[in-house]
Amino acid sequence: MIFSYFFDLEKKHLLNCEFQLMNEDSQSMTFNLIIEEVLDGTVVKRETGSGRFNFSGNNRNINLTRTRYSAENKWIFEAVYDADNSQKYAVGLISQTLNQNPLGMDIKHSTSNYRAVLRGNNLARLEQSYVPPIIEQTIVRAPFNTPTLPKGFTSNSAQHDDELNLMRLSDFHQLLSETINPYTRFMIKMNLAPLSLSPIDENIFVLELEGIGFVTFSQGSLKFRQTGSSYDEDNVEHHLNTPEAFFQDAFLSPSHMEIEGDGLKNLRIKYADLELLVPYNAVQPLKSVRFSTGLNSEEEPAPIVCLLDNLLVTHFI
Amino acid sequence: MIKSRLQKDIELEKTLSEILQSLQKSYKESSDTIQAYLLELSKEEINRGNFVAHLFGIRERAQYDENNKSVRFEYGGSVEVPIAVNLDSWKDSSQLTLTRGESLQ
Repeated sequence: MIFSYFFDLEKKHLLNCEFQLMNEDSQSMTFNLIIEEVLDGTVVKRETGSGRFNFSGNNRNINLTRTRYSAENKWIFEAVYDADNSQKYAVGLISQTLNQNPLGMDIKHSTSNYRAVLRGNNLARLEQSYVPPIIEQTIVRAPFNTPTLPKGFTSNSAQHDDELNLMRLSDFHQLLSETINPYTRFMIKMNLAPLSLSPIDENIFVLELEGIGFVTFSQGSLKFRQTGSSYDEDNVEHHLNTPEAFFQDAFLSPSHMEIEGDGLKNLRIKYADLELLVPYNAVQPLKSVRFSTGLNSEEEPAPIVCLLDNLLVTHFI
Repeated sequence: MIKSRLQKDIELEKTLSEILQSLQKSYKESSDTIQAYLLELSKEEINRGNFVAHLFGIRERAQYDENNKSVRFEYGGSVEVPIAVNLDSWKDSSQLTLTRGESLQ
């Protein structure tokens, strides 16, 4: 079911909220929630989520709510299981261009093999006590399916691999189009696979969260140092012998990097199937991320080339 | 002969474009009228009961059930709902029930 709000009579500026049924049986249903802003046929903002309702009894009713919370420029699309309101999922958009009321909406039934009924259709005043949920907002999403670089992404070495649809590079700088504010939870994800290794004790790569700190990876360890500090907060040791652990025809589990700041003081760094939990300074805003590799251990050392894909930066606001 | 056909085509294009313009104008006017009336209605309803029920423009493969104010859809069906409110923040709700099967009962 798609609720498509339009903001002009030509329906060129839209906010689409879609409930997409994935699977359903007598016990449960799984679904995706999609919220997107469309301008002249182009998706300019999009957030997605997935959920699962476990049914109790015969109640299959789902309450779908679209909320405009103008004080924060927030639009929220929520799905709640009617028989158990604790089963609740939401996605949302913050958009400066969706700053007025729609002229109307189209509702389209988009699930084949199903009939649909909509009841209790109304638009209501928000309760005085309403507090909008914290929602995940995407700042960078780069699947590198084309040679086009994402906005704010620069590199002296990046070459697009047209067969594998990823980047080969030894450095990059990602300027964030929206600053991650102090005390804000954030997440950085990517697939990263070095194609060669550096000598033991030398860096394979350093990923800098500018103003916050440095994530350093070598054959022997994964460590984190805060900006301005002269010692590592902590490190986990390991023994890496070959780069094949990261990539063989496809990215393997060790290549999945995840860095999550909780917006308070805890940073979780996951890479090479290792996990590092360290304190960080959440007072600092995060405006950019910088990456560079070390030299490999061959006779004539050259910068290590890494495969990079699916770069994702989100914050929770 | 070619010249006269071209002339005809040009005239036809002019006529069509005039018709289109006039349609767009009346579309805009009826939308403005609906918006004006609906804004008043929404104001009244929301002041009285905190909500205003949706009005539906029904297209194919959709049916409105007057008794329980519900809308039934077959796959691909759609409806249009005009919106005019003087609230900056609001919530717009519907309860969805999906049932296996293609046709309307």
